Amino acid sequence: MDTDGRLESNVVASQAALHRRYGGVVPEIASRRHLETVIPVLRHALAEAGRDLDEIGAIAVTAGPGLVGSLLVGVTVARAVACALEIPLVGVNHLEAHLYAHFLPSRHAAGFALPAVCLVVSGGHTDLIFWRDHGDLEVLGRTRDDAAGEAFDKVARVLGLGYPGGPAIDRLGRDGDPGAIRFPRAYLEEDSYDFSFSGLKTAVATYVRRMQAGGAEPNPQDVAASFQQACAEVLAAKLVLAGSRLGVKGVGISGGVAANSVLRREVRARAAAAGLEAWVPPAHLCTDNAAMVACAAWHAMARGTAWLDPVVDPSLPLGRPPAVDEVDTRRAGNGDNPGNRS
Amino acid sequence: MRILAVDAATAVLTVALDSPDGPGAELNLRGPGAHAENLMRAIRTLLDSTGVGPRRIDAVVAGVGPGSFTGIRIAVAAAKGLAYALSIPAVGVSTLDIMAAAVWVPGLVVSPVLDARRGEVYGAVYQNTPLAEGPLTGYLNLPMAKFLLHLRELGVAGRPVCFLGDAALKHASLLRRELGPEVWVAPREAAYPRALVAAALGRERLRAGEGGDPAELVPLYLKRSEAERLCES
Ligand SMILES: [Zn+2]
Repeated sequence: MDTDGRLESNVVASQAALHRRYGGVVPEIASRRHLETVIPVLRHALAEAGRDLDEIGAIAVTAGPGLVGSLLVGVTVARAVACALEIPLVGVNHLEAHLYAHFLPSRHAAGFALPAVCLVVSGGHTDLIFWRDHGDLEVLGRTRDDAAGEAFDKVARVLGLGYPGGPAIDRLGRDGDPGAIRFPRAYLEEDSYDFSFSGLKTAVATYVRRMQAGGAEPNPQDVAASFQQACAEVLAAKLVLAGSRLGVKGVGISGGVAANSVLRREVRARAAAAGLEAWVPPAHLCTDNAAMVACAAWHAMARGTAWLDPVVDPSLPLGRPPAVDEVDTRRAGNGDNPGNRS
Repeated sequence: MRILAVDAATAVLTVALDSPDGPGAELNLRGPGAHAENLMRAIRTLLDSTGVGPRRIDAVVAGVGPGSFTGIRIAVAAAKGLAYALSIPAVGVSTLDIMAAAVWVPGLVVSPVLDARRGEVYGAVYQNTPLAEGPLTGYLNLPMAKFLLHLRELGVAGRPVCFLGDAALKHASLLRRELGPEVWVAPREAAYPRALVAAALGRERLRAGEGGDPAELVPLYLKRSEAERLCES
């Protein structure tokens, strides 16, 4: 990202194929692969931007939340590069970075304005956030059990589609009838902005098992389409409801599940019906990428609130950099010992 | 050639800055833990206290293990980042080589042994072998009992042997009982790798034309991840 906040390159090395045979991300394998790919990815990003290393003015890196082994690889390499080039290292919260996908230039995100209500929805998160201003965030609700992305992965397994589940279900569901099967929608208590997807996940598994027990093969297209519809309706409904109640100009989605075509359509439709803008960044900016990390750091630097010399925190809370003793306490609590041999 | 060396595979984080024409500087921090946060801070301290700017480093050496997966990854990650950003070569040296090189003398059998958990060790045996050629045994990851068997088969029993490392300390009486009175176990102070030794080994490797591209620098895990093991079996 250049001085004016323009994106010059955005390189992603996905590990989806690597983790497919294990049906999900294996932390140790992820850490190993990140270490192998980090230098080629850095080279690629600079080459694509047509820049030299000595033109870099700051490095941004995700410090949490996430898998500790992967975070350590990223932060250690970034710290070393920053030390070598004698430039600042800026720590970014991964969730906050997903929100900054809305500030990345694209025609879909044009007109994005704060305050806004945004949903970050992925394999690790389902968080509904009231984003008043830069650095001023409030989590309105989150999942009480599985992240939406986990439900996609589980349903994909039930349908024998493999990992990652999202894209496969999206493709399959295109030829199905979203009204064919009425799966439960968990709206929880009235006024709650929390989510729950474990019931939906179980309902899909039970439906498929019952059909098979009765000697029938469930129609996978219909199952995929109906599951997605149930999932997308709840997500979009709560997002738009929060947007209307809080009187913002519009609502946004990002995170891996925000690449799902049904959710994108549902959010656009419901926002339009409520007279709200719908900010839906292109899919490649919704899924994990470093452009959003650079963008979050760029805004923090512009406001003089950048988190300099960050430390890795696997459970980094949203909204502010943690105090050092706070991180230490949490670390002692979860028994994480970087020196252990695992 | 001014070399920055680092090893974080064991309970001791060790960082050194070494040049052939001047005194070296070395920083050792005994764990447990916090290697990740201390690593770059230690490098920074070393550079600041010697008055050497990062751009005056000519090569980076990383201890690649075996040892703590997290430890070897952060050492390799730091070496990759520095070498890449400074456009200088990076070379990896086995942590067991680094340990053995500190005590090796011709005729003496030297065996660094590190705890690999679940009753296993990482170990190797060096004997009358220039370290550039590596250990007699290769780098091993075995249950302690099997490692002992290996040592017996090599004809080590009854001969002077120097063991070093946390597993050697832990199994000192077992080693003496099984291999005889000539067994010498290095005290805690000498039981861990030293980055100045790593720098010296790295210098030889670089001279021999090894290493270079930081993208090619790889950890020496010896073990597959748990998931891979479960998947295979
Ligand atoms: Zn993400």
